[in-house]
Amino acid sequence: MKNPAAVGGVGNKLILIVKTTFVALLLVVYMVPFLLVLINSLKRKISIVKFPLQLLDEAGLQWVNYQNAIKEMFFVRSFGNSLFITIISVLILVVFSAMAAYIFVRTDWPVCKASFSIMIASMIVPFQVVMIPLVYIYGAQLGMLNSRMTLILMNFGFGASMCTFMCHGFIKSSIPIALEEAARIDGCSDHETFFMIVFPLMKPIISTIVILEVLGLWNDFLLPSLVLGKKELYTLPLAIRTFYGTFTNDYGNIMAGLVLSVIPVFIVYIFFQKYIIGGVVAGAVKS
Amino acid sequence: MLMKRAMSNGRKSFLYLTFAGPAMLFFFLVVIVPLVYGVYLTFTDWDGLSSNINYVGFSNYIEALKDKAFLDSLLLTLEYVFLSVISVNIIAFGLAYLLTSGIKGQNFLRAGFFAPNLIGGLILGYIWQFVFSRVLVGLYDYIPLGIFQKSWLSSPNTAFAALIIVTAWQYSGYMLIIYISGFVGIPKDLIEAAKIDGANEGKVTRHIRLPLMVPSFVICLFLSITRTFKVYDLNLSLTGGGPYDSTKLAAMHIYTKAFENYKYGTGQAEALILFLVMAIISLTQTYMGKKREVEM
Amino acid sequence: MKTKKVISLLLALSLTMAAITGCGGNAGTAASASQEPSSEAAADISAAPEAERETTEADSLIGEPFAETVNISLLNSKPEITKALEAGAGIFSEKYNVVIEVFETDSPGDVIAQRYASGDAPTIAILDYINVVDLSAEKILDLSDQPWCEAGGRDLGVIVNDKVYGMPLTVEGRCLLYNKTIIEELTGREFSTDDYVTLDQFSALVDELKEAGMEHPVVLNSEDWSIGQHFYQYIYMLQDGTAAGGISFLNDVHNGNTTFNENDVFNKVYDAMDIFIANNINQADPLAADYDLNASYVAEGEAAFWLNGTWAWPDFEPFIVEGMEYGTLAFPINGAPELEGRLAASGTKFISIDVANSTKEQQEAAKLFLNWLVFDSEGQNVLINDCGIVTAFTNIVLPPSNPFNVGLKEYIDKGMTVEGVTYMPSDHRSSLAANMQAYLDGVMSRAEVAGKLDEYWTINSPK
Repeated sequence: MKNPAAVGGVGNKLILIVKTTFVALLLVVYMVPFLLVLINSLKRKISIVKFPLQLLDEAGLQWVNYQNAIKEMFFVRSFGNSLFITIISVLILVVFSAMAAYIFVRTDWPVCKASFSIMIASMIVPFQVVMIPLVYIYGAQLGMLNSRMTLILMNFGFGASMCTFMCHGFIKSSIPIALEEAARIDGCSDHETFFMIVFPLMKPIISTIVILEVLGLWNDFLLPSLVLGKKELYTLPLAIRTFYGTFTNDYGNIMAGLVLSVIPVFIVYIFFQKYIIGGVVAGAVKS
Repeated sequence: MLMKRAMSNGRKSFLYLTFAGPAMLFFFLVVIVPLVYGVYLTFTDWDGLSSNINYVGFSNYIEALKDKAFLDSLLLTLEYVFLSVISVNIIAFGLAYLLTSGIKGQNFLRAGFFAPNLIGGLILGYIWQFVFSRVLVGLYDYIPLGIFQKSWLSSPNTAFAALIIVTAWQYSGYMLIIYISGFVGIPKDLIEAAKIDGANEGKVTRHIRLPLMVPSFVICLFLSITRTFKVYDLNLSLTGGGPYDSTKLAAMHIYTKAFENYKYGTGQAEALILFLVMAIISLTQTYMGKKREVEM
Repeated sequence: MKTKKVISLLLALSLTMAAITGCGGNAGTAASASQEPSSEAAADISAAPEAERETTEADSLIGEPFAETVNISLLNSKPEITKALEAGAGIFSEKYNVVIEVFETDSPGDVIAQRYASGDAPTIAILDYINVVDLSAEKILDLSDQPWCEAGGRDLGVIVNDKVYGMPLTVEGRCLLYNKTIIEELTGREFSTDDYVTLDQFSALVDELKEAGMEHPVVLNSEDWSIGQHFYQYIYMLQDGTAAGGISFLNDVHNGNTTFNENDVFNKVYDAMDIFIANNINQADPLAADYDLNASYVAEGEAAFWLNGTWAWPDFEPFIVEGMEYGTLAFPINGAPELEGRLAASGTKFISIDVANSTKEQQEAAKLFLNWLVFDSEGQNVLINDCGIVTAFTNIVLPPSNPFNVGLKEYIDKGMTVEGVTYMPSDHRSSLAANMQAYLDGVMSRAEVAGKLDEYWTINSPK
């Protein structure tokens, strides 16, 4: 077996260097706004306004912004709320969407086709269209608001379509049905087949969904603002709003709050991205 | 198909309820029920506040279709969607390809390109507003180029370009994840087999990678189309619809109409029209894509 | 499997954290609530002897403390005063056994609609005029019987069908904010607002400042609420200085009897605007103007005049220079001697009490709070000094707390004001502000703007 990297030798290496450089440059450009957040989180508002390109505030690094953010955002409490809501929502979403996708792919029952079609169609609906009826029905009529569980179940309802959609595509094209047939022959029930064979093979797509959903839910403002009226239930995005004024905003504090809010998601990403690579069935079935 | 074996209806129902039941239930309660009620409201004159609701037939829809500003915003949105979707997907696909091809420091780079997505909502717009209005203009003192002279957000064309740039920046990281997942899901032995047979990189891409990436394309196109159609937060915080309403996209127009002008019924009707337009485009795209999905 | 272990660990961790933070959160708020009143108690005791006579009289106007704790909520749409309100609520709760939870927003219209839609409306809401009007039909209390109505509440409050639905919280002035010190420095003589009431006088002063080295003496905003909404109001307010005059003019336009272009006041107001634009420090890129930078220009003396309003003090203050004096100047207008030197002062934020989602007790507690703000010396202190507002109530004698308010009060006390605009429909800003921005940018002509205004007011009528 020839070593692909050795074939072509210098030519291939050059391409690799060009690729790497290009990507690295693009990365720097991409990171600029992010760096701005970091830099501005340590400046006073006056310096941010008057000297936008200044890297370091004359009055020194404004760690006080972080203190303000932690205090005024009730950071620990808001963080706890965000964490609780995000984790539970994502868990529910992943498990039940995968199950729904499984049955939608592996059967051709009319009810399944119809269910899946409605789900896809609903992904187009802009949130503002259902926003007011949603709070009217579940708030004014049923009094179920001001509860984190309500928000979690709503997150589930809104997210189910996309997650099912993504699982559907993955199961259809990356999970060989032969494995399931083998399991059936071995005497597994449909549920056992799913949980023991199919679900573990879905690591790449599940990791993808986890990352995307965590990201979306962590930063979500509109739905939580409608559902969580009581301040002790506020998530991080709701808590940051305290720095927004009528005419202008408390930029330094906002940036500090943002940095604090964003670190957990970043960690989740680093952790899960390994699974996208690691969980692939490569050549499991040779037909 | 696994479950194509003969089954009693009872068994079918059991399987449907246990596999798809929970998802369908909450989906129905949270999306469908309010949507139906929302559609009902478009046939009333509800202003968002009073408990007095009267049936008014199609007058909200007629008003929506006569609203020139709404139709203008729809056209503008179509333009924006087209340009954004192309930018986002080309960048994301290209980057995903590069980042799964064995470059050094891949993991670090993936983390870096994902970073934009960590900043969402209004803050994203404020930061970029800062960049286009203050940082770029501040650079003029050092690099006297025309593009740095005025804030990009002060004239219609550059403001529109700014919207597209930020959208591409934000969503390419999101779609990147999906494309990477797709690339990684391509069995390595297929590629090796093709290379042994003498195929070069280009042929491998065309005949193996692209077809197997179709599911990723379908998802990414769908997501980028639907998200860019619905854009509101970025529109509000980056340009605020300006300068002088020249970048007021559809969702912003609708929101203003429903909530600031208290013309809730018309606003909802416009939202449903927007929904219809989106539905036609994205369902067509999905349908065509799903047909080309290769089953393993 | 490793993944399962990790997930269950994360789950356990999150539930534990949630439990901890759940308890911790409550303890936190309780602790802070009990801390504030005790620090105020010391101040209470020292002020007691003089205040006693006042408070017993006022007490009868305000009301009695509640036997059982009542919990109410307050939605504040002026984020700058949230902290002051929270502190005030703390003092109030000590005395009257009412706990007020304060929420804030910068966009009252949609938020209040959403809260009513979800059946969770705040007991007290601080809103804009038009919001109160829209809610008055069924959602809020008729406050005509409240003691503060006679003390100025009726004059400047929200009146619908002859009933008072909104208590006026703030009186603000739309005007030119100026830096007195820098003007006097550059002109070499004392500056008095009486000397610059016509556009010609103002224009001459601007030229003088330019000759003395100030390149651009005027600062204009780019925001749609400022250059759009507020600016249009000058056209309506200066028709004859009364609301009735403005309404009658708009009705004329609506009925096709006149147009904006033909209107004398419209042209005079735009003449002034042209002078401002010609001397705008943001000339190179008027729509990229930054609100905070604008504040700094006048605060530091790089420019002299800012077309804005007295609400700007909290955002202005961070840039002020020790020793410099600031004030307010009425909009300069030629050829209108009855209107010269009159400041546009009007009520801007109004307080309403919910009737749809609250109990009778909560409503009484809310009324108590409003009375306390107006009649109790500590409440008045919260309003005038902590919130930094100019009040509509004639019984409050505390002096204004910042230079802009001082200027505003002077004009009010001299009777030199014009009536504010309360009759614009809720889509006025979103429909028309863009045109003014285009004008500012030099993309639209005066005639075109007038045309758009005609179009709008032909379809709509003043409310």
